[in-house]
Amino acid sequence: MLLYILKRIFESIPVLFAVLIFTFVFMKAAPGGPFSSEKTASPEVIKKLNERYNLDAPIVEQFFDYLKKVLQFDFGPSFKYVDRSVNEIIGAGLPVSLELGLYAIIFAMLLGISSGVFAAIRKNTWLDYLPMSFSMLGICVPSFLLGPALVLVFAIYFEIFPVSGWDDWTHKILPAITLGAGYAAYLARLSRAGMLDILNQDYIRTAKAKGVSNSKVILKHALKGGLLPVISFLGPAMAGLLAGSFVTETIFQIPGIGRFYVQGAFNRDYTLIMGTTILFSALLIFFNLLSDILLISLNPRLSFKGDKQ
Amino acid sequence: MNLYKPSKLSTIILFVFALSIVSCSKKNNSSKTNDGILKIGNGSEPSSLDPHVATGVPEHNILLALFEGLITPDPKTLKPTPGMAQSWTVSKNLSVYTFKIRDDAKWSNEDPVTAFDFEYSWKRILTPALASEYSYMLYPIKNAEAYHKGKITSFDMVGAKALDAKTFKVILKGPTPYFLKMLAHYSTWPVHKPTIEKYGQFDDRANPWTRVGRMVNNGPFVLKEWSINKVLSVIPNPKYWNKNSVKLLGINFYPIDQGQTEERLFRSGKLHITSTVPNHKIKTYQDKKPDLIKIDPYLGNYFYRFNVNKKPFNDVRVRRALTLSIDRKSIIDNILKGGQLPALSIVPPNLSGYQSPKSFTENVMEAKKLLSEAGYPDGKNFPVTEILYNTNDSHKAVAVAIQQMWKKNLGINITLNNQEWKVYLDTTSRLDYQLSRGGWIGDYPDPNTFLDMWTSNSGINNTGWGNKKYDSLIAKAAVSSSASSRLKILQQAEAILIEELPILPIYFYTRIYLKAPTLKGWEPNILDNHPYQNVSLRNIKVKGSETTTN
Repeated sequence: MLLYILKRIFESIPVLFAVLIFTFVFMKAAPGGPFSSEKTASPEVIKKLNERYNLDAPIVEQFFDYLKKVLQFDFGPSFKYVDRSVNEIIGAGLPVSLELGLYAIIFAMLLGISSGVFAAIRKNTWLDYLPMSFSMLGICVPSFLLGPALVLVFAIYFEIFPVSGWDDWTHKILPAITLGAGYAAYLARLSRAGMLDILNQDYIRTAKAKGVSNSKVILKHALKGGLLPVISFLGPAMAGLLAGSFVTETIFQIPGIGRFYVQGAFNRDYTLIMGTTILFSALLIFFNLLSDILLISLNPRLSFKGDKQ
Repeated sequence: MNLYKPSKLSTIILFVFALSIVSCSKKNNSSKTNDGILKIGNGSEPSSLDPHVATGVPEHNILLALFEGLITPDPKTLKPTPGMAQSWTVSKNLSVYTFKIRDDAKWSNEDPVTAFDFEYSWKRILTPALASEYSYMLYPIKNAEAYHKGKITSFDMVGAKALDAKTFKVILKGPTPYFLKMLAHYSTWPVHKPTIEKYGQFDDRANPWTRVGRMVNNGPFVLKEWSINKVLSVIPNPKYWNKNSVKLLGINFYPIDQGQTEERLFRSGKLHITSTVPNHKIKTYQDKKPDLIKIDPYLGNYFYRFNVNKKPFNDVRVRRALTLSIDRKSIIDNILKGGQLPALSIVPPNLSGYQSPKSFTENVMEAKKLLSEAGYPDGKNFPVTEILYNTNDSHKAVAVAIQQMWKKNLGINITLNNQEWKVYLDTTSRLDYQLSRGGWIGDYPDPNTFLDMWTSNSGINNTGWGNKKYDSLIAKAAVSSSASSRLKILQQAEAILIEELPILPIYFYTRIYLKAPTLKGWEPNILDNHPYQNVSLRNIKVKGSETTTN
């Protein structure tokens, strides 16, 4: 298994490198720069700024200078937030986004998997139709609609939760639901399909025939196999939750990294764009690896190739 | 079926959980009452708290709490009143100012604020390597521009000199009647030398001296917390010379970039003042809560640039025809709905003492006549023309309305093109457009801030238009020693702009915001400048008794 993990990590290096090059090229190709503004500064000022941030060097040199720094985990200074480094901004925002993502995925799993499993067991009854219709709705309703609607009902009308912010646990419920709802819906459909597939398998029928109680069949035998598609979905979902948290973070005024990811692009904050893109790519790779490892250890039909050698 | 059991159980658990949430948070919900902290919706995360590096409105709002310049503006009239300078004298030719620094002027670490601090600060912002985007604010000072552009290297030649710890002498290159008002801008405010040099280079814009626990400042408040994208809090500065005037117990600035989020926070009592109001909510507030929404005149204009290098806008008759044939009032009443003023001139009204010259009136018949004289009768043969604007719903709505008006009134076809902000800036500055939306917020309350940007060597002209007479009038106004003749010269300059119309004026901005009734002393003024010393929060208690905090 260790060999497998090492191999996967090794494979991810060229991927990350490609991401770095493409982002760098596209970023530089985009019109406008970090210092273009409505109040155009004098050419002297722009020249000094370009000198200050090494933007007057040839582009290839700029790239390799940047690469050298990144290899030392230094993402450089932010252009927009003048006295902050990108490391500092990521350090402040990433834990918040991770926390939000974690709550959202917990919510999504609790709601999605339980309703999906019930729907599969009670196939073609109201216990199936109702959650499945809801899940269709959950997939369709975008978070920029769901978020404000939740706020309107639970924060402004009933005054149960705060409108926005990120302090105690009451601040975290509505954002977690907003961010997690779409994933809950997806998970419900996935786990329903997975469970249905398993429930029709011979070994389940055998277990039932042997007189094993219904709940035991579900919990002990069916769940393990039925949830495999869910696990393979969770890896990319977790990375997607982080990168896609921009809307939720904006609605609820959450100081996460998602907002910087988008603002960075708008501000042409070159170092911030690079830093956050590399970070999200690395996270995506990491979570995919994690879900693959889980998948292999749960599914006897798969194995770590590295182990056989 | 035993399968149902867990579901029942979980229902009960959920119910109990929900109940506990309700009961908990009801207790917590006490923030609507007054804790003496002013809570401001402040647009976006500040890019910097260094007055010599920062640019932007959110930055201004925060710096106003932390620093103080030689003067402070009167909150109603913006008239300069004593700040760090307790008094000043002006020479007869209006070119030499001598400021007396007050004896009780102190930094937050108890060091005295001296004239040397001002000399140091002005030298810093004019140092080329700092690359401050607001250095040009100091250009009226003798040799300041030359120093900033590296033409001279000795700061002794610049007209800003501390004669002793209490006397600061400023020599201008010509009489600049708005010089004192300009001192209300943060680019002229002082910084604390030992602090700057403790945490980095004097001329390094990324010098991190402005963090909590490091910053030494001289304004009414000091920095307490700065959490990125969350909140920036300040508390009263016990060393501030005029600390008795400060009534607030603190200010929280929230970087909220979405108007809708801001409005929801305001509605739940978590903000006292917002930075904007979503367009579609303006009417609702005006109808249902007119005491909460404020619309103040604001020193800014909204216009379309003509690219005068390209056909058909190289012909002034076409520019005039297009200018005369839009119904500004209809745009304001039906789209913007924020009490903006139709712009029939370049300089906004309400600038003390200045009167724009006689201008045009909207007239479709005359517009048709002009267009036909230019060779496009009833819009025939008029090339397909594009309006460029940066992606924004309001800009789009205005452009669509104008597109329809020109189609109906002149028979010409206009297409619309939106670009992301930085792309739009790039396209406009390369003059790769036909018509391009623009806007300008004045840096200081004087017509010059709206006029000197249209000189032929200005970096923000971006129309291809230039007029030697115009350039010379602007230059002449800058050195005119009589206030009234100066305004006359500027009037002549504006008359040229109105005659030639390199831009199409559309409306003058208003500042639209939500304000809690408990907030007092927030006086409307055209610069949206609200010194916090004058602001207080009143308790409105259920029994009807009102108290002021502190």
